[in-house]
Amino acid sequence: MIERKDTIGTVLTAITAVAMIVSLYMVFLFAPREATMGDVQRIFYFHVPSAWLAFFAFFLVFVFSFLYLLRGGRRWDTLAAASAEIGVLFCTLVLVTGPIWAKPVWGVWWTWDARLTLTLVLWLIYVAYLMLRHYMADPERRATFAAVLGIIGFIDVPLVYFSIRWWRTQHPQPVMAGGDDSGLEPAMLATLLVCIGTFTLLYLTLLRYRLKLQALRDEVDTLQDRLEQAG
Amino acid sequence: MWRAITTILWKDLKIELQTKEAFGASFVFSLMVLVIFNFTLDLTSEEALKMGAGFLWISFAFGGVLALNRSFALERDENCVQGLQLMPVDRGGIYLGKCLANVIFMLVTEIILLPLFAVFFNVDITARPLYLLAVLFLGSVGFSSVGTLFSAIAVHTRMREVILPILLLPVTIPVLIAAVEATAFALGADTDPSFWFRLLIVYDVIFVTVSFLTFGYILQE
Amino acid sequence: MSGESALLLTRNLTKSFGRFTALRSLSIEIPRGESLTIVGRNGAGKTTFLKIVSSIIRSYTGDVEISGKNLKNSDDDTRRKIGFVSHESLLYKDLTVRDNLAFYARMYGVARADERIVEMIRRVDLEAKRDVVVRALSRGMKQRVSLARAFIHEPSILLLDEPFTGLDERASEILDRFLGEFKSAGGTLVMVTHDIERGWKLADRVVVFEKGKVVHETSPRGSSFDEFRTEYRRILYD
Repeated sequence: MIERKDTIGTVLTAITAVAMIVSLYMVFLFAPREATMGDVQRIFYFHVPSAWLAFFAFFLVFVFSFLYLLRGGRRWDTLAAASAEIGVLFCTLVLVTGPIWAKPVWGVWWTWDARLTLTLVLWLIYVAYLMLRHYMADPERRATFAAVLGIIGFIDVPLVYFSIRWWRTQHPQPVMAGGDDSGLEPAMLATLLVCIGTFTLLYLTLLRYRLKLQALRDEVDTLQDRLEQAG
Repeated sequence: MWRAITTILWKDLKIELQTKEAFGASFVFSLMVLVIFNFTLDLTSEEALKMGAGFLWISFAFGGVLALNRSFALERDENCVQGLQLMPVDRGGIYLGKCLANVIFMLVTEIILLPLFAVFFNVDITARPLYLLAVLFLGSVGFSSVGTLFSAIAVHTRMREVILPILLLPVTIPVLIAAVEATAFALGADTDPSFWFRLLIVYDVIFVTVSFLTFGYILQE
Repeated sequence: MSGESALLLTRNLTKSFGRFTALRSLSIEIPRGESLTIVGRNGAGKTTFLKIVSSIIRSYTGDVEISGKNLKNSDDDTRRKIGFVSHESLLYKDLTVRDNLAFYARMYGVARADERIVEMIRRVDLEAKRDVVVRALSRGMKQRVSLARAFIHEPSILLLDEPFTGLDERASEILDRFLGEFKSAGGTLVMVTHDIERGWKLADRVVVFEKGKVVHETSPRGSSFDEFRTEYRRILYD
């Protein structure tokens, strides 16, 4: 039955909200102004954690997919789907914040270096994963097929990354000065870590609500069935 | 298992010989892609040689998707998939048979396309012919290995043929990169071949193995 | 048909598709040589039952045993014993009659395949069309080829899913004949049908599926068709 009170969800949201406020303070007021890039560098505190979380989420899609194929059970499939959705969300954030940061700093919107390209390819693979799920009606089959795709997609990640890296040595791009992790002051490091923690909390909160949403959907479906059978 | 592989291969080849659907569609489409390159890019033959490897594999990839689509589309008719599900054979054997058939279809298209490519772009393709054939083979295996698996997936979705390239192209990027680099060497470029060829072999092994192991999940209900 | 026959049983067989439960804790025993007809309305679980027994559906809870071997642990040999006749032909439209049969014969490891193919073509009376592609055949002829396909590996367990639907007279006649021969050779038969009259005639036992369970069981030896039909109607329209 639907619970009116979701204690864990509420607590999680509260903690995340607090963490967000702390992070915003640290990003804009606590962290020092970067020497070469200026204030625009503060995007880094959103960009990097988003990237970490995107990869983490996709790694979890792999784990949940594997567990689904091994053990069965709708739980794993729902977790995989939720993680993929949140992963695509964070991945989109990375792809949006990246160019915004790159243009003023490097003068170009985009470079085809290994990390950026990998993020784009990752985005494509997991959007394809979501599309596959969207275009399948049978829930069991959808779960199985999505799980297979989730596994292959993640195995592909290191292959794509290294291929692009090695290819780049043949076709080098102009070198960008001032990499994003060249010499982090302790204050900056602290801010970064706090942001990563906040984004992780955000991931968990979103995951929780997505699972709740699925439970509600299932509840509606069951009620609908009962109504139909009652005639 | 061996019996399953050869029988499925025989069946798919026989059907193709009868209808010529896979080859026809993929050849014509690949050819069109090459022609469109010419119109949109207007290259000198020097530039064409440098970028030729890329053109070739783009056109092979798009043509390949058409052939792969057909691979399981023909099983959907009259619910032949159910016939396959009933058979007392290893699912992996069915996968390998179909994969081999798709590799052959891709190879045939590629080999016929090569001389046309040489003519259209005034490129010499005889620089290192054995290497060229090896790349075509290894690249086609890599592409078809995941392609056959995804074709089986795509056939059960609402979007059928449309979803196959969306799924396949991002995942086969490593294969395409390696194939293009190795082809550049085969067309006469001054690079180190061994690295990319070895990489192609590694990718082929990984993709064939993973697809082979997971195919059973796709074939069952 | 081969003399070997089999015993089929399920224990607490449950299968759900998402939130829809097709089979609920179904337990049934089919002794060797029996002809069982399964009737019931759409969605009662009849086809799902056949698909599980034939290994098309592989994820379910409960036990299914064929000849004492649990289906989940069994190997290809068990599947080799099973024949499936459905209203779909399972034929490749661009292959000839002979090639279609050759494909199935080879995949099932049929011994002396060429002879067997010739024999089956003769028995469905399609010798004149043996090198014609299936696409060019009439519907009735296609059905006959499909019957040849289903019986080519001499199954000892036969599963039929609405086999008489849309069959023309000639094909119907041939199927009747094949089934008669199959039964007298001791084969085990499970047929799902809406044609309760035909189902009754062919059966040793008739069960009614409703909402994934067996709700009624009867036999032509014990009661009359009219009694059964009355009871069946009562169940359906209750």
